[in-house]
Amino acid sequence: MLKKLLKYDLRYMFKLWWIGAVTVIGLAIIGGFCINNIMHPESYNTFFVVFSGIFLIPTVLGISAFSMYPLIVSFIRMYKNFFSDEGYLTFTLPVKLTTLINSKLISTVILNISSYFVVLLSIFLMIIGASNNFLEDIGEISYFFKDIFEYCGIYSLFYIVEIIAILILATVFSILFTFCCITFGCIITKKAKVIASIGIYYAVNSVVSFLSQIFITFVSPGIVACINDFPEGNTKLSVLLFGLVAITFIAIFCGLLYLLQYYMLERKLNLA
Amino acid sequence: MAWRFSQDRPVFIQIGEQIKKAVVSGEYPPGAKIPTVRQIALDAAVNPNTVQHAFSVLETEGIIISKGTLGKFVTEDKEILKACRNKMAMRLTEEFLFNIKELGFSPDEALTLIYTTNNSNNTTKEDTADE
Amino acid sequence: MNNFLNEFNVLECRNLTKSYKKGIPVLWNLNLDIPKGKIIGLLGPNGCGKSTFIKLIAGILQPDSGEILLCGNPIGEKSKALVSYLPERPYFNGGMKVFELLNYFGEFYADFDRERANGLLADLAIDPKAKLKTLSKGTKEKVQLVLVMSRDAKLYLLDEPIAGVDPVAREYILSTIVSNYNPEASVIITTHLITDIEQVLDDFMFVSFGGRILASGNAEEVRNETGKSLDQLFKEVFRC
Repeated sequence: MLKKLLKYDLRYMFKLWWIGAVTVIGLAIIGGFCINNIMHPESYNTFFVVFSGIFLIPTVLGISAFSMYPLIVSFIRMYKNFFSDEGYLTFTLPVKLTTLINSKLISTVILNISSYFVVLLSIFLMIIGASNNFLEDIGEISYFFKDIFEYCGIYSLFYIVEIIAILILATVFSILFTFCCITFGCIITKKAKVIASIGIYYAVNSVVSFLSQIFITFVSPGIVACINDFPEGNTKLSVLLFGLVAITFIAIFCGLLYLLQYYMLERKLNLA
Repeated sequence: MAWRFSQDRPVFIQIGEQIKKAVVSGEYPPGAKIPTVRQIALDAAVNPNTVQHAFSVLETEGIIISKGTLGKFVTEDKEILKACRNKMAMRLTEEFLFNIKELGFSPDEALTLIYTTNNSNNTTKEDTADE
Repeated sequence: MNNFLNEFNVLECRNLTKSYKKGIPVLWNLNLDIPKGKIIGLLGPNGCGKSTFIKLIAGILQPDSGEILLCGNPIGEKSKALVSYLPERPYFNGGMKVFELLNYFGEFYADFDRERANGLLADLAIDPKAKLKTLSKGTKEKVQLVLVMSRDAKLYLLDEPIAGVDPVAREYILSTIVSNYNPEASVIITTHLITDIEQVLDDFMFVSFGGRILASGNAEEVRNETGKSLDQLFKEVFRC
């Protein structure tokens, strides 16, 4: 059943995605040349330079808009599929509640990661387009990475794994957070579901950001001191451990949000 | 068959009456196969259990006989059919008499009325036939 | 608490209670058994809790207290596979085409009869390649009816299936309900249009506010005993 639900969710979410992706990549390629023109103007043709500058605006806007696509589309999909009239069909399907939630979660994660790749690719293409000595620039960047790897030694592998894990978990966390806001907003109001959901999202988001700022301001010096206290050779180990702690925390919060989402749908679903 | 029901009498009785009328009038001659419960239910837009009930009553009365998987058939027993026809006719007559008496007619006057009406009906038919 | 499982009952409800706002119960301690092979009418005025009851069985509302068993299963994944629900309004994604919706049903419901659905759509002259949002309201409702009736479910829940539909379509809907009849399954129809639906019903229930059952019984028996139609009876019962 999960595969079937995924099929429909993915089909819906990716319907327009391809157009956006191709557009963004196209804009990035051209944008790269624009930057090139601005940085190394060949013929000192002012008009050309100005035009390049102007064309960068849609490029940047396009990439920013596209990076918002996953959030907007997954929001719409969940709202329509769960809380509009379609919900009558969704919640009478012979599938477990966890399967329904998992399908939305997995499809949104796939959507987000695909969009990350496209955005990264476009930035990379812009850099390629912008540089005249592409191979030299690439060479410099690869030396930079090589230095880091040499410094970290075997820990580099663990660090890469940790970074990927944190990125994925952070994505999952923000997706589950969005889902909970949508569900909560739709449950507590009958008429203004969309506005309530968006409102709750921004409200809680702001509160969480505020609290995190405070947390980081007060706690990070302590963490840095902690790491510095470690004997010289074990700094890398401590960073690794700190990474593991962070991963555990995010994972726990993800689990809590998932349970909250499940509870809200199981107990409090009251489709009009 | 055109099924028509009034809602204030049990429908199964009305189905039974309409089937009997079809049998007596020759629409379903003796020995003929009757449509299934399902077909009648669909035709008349009536609950199949109701049709089944009607069939049970008709079977008890002997008007129709069940031949297992072959289906249900009109009886070939002439006596039963005659009795049914007579019973239906008597009921119609009773109803007519009751109504005509309310208008003040005596049975003899009613009889005369029947003949005159019948004759004028025939005349009208012959006129139209001539044309 | 499966002690009261009766294999002849498609539906069993015990002490079902549901309120939307605090203190205003829409359903109050409802106890009900529905055997298989019956077409049952839940008849009552608008807003008396008929739709709420149906939605509780369908699983899109949660009761405050009480229990519902469907062929012995509590409301969940298994019960939803046995129930075919027709809501009052269209519940599909308008962007789909008709045949895509049939595919959807076929994928999720093992008891979906594709042949039957295609036949019914052909009878109604509905183009399978049409986009759902381009269809008229009446046609959308017919499509939904086709989907719901093409399943081999144990319990069909039809919430106001003939309201807002033209008389010809009404006839078609009623004959579809009759032709779908199956002694192993039951149908619950809620409506306030009693005249149209009377002769299709086995049993009936007059439901008043709070989900109180004012009267219930077999339609034919009632006609026999009282010499009145259900419609007339309804008007009498609800006049007070």
